[in-house]
Amino acid sequence: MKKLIIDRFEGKYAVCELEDKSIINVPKYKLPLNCKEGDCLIRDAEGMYQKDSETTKIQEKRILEKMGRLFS
Amino acid sequence: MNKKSKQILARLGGLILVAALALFINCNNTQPDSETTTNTHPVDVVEVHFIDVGQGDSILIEAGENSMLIDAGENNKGSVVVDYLKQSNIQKLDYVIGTHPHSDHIGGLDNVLNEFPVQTVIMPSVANTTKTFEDVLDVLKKKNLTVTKPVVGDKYTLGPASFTVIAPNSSTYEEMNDYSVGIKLTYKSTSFLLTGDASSLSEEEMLKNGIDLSADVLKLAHHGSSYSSSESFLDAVKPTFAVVSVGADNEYGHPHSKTLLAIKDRGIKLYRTDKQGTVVFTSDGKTISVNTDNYEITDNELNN
Repeated sequence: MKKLIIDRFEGKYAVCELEDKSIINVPKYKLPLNCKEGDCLIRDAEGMYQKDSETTKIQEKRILEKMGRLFS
Repeated sequence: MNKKSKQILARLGGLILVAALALFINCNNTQPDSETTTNTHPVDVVEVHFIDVGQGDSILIEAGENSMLIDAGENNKGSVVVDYLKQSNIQKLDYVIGTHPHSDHIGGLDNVLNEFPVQTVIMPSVANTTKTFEDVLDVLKKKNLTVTKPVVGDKYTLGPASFTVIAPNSSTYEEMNDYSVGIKLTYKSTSFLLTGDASSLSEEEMLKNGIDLSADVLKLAHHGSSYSSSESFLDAVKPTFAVVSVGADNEYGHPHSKTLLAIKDRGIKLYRTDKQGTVVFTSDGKTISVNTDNYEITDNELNN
């Protein structure tokens, strides 16, 4: 099992950040429908991708809190 | 003359002076001090460096004794950017702009913020959930820096030059690229237009808002993709020079043949970091020189 975050979309790829902060290109067709930038994903042993909505929510909350303190 | 040859000339001059002095007073104790004299950037020159960071953006601007950085490439390019700034004798940065929170733009920013004192940080208020973005936020906090929001029309002084914020013109977008901070850098009668990854949607807003977009040098937004550099935008900017900051043989098809064709049709001189490495534009306020010849677009590239 692997954890990924969609950093952005470029052409036919979702550019994803792995836990070690390296970047990989995942073909969009392999992803669940309606994925967006910032979505956290899980890749299972069979190479299937699923949205990890719970982790996405936790990440968003933490990042927004950090931004709130920094952005005037 | 590029910076390296200037430095070599300055050093040669220093050496000749030292040799003459040694002959004259017949003394070998004189230490050459040419190192200290080459550290100061000329006060009446503006240089814009499109640093080769592979697929991504990183732009160093030196204006007199002041300097700023726009973006810092991917995570693994942070050290490349830091080394480049050190080689350029940068001691501090007056401004750092993180155009938008995609890793190919802000990846190396944490390294830069850790290494150099920074006065003002400008970033759009849009979040990404990546560790890469969080690293930038964490360093900002550690350095007690706050973020200044880009407001269209705001003007900042950078030594003898200045820059005006020209994008983003809205506060909510579907695509993170459109939050890109865009600026027009002006030095006397020369100017540079730098708009991160802004797509034609953001370009359309700049046009609608009646912003004076005319510039001598245009960085083709979003690495020359087909989603940016619309024909109406190119016609409003009317650049003499265009530059693409892009990785060799990237899998995204950047720069796109449509963009290259639009550039060729208009007789704009093109420069590419993937083909030519770091591209440096030097302005004396009237004319702009480049550290390399322009890139000739091939027929093959237009047919992709």
